[in-house]
Amino acid sequence: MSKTVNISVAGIEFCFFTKENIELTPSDYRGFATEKAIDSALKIEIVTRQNIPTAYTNCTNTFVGDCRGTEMPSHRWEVGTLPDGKEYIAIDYFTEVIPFEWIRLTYDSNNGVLEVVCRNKQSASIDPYIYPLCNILISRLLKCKKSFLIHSSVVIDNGKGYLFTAVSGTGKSTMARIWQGEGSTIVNDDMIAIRTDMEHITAFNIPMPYYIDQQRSAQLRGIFLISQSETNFIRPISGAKATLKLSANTISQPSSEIAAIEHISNVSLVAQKIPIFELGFKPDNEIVSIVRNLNL
Amino acid sequence: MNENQRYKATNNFTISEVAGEKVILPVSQSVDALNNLFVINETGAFIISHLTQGKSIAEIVQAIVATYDVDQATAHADVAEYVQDIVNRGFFVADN
Repeated sequence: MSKTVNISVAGIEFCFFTKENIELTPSDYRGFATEKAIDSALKIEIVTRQNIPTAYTNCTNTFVGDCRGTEMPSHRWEVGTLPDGKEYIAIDYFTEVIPFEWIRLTYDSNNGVLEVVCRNKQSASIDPYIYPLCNILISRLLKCKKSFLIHSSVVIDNGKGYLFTAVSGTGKSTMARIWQGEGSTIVNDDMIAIRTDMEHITAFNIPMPYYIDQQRSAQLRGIFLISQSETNFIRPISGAKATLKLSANTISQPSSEIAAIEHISNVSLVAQKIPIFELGFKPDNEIVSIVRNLNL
Repeated sequence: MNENQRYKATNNFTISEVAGEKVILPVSQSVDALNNLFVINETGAFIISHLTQGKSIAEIVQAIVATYDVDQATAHADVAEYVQDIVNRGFFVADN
């Protein structure tokens, strides 16, 4: 019976453990689980509650995402900072699909407590990589490393990482499949973690809620702001306009002036180091040749 | 638009500098307002600065006419459009 799970995502390590009579079951994060415990990992203890505790008060930097009716599973999440400086992520679930009514992670840089209220009070097992808790946690931990999540696909082509970003439905996944058809490797086709604090600007995949993946990463050589077009075209873009267009597809919680400025500074780091292009494409493989010929 | 109207800034944005240009960044407690990023050009910065000082639409128009090579009607149309845009984005509200 597994009572400890170590996970590494985008170079960020965390460990879930429990002292209760519950098994921690692997699921979508399996490819990101590590056998070895890491001393520097954020250690999160899972505890069950019978009833939802009182909400925190006097918090700062609060930010809310209300996904009722807009996303599956239906949920509402909130993050914030407690008076003692600890951070929290609280999620209410409004669907029976998720085995929890409510969860709340309270943490600092070293330790955390994840309180869960299960729908089935006799639950004997918990999947610790709860959606969207871990992605929100990763987003907030990345912030501390001047890094961020972005809606994008990334491919590796002859050792070069190319990132394609746009709002949902534009063609990030289609673009990734086109490149895969030309021999490239897909890092991820939906959400990417970009680390700016490494030797090179590096893109990482993160666990996805609907399939099991393995860890992959790529040094970025080019970023493409994609759109659907009747003809394939590429044009470079730079400066504030490039940074803002890139930022529009990132995940952030700018609940204060400082948070907003820090986030745009992190995005700006990427825009300064990696060439950015506006790319219009029709769904054929000509676009691969056009990008390859840039010799990035 | 009422020419004597003054506006006050909300807490929903901050102005920062990116790649040498001034940009408006949304500050929000929810997901909804996060696409309100845009670059402020020189005229926009001029208008925002004067709004923040409590100037009315008419006063801002006069200031633009005095500072830039533009006629009254064009200045008025540009100021009205710009102010309406940043009000719609939630960055300024009418100061009654």
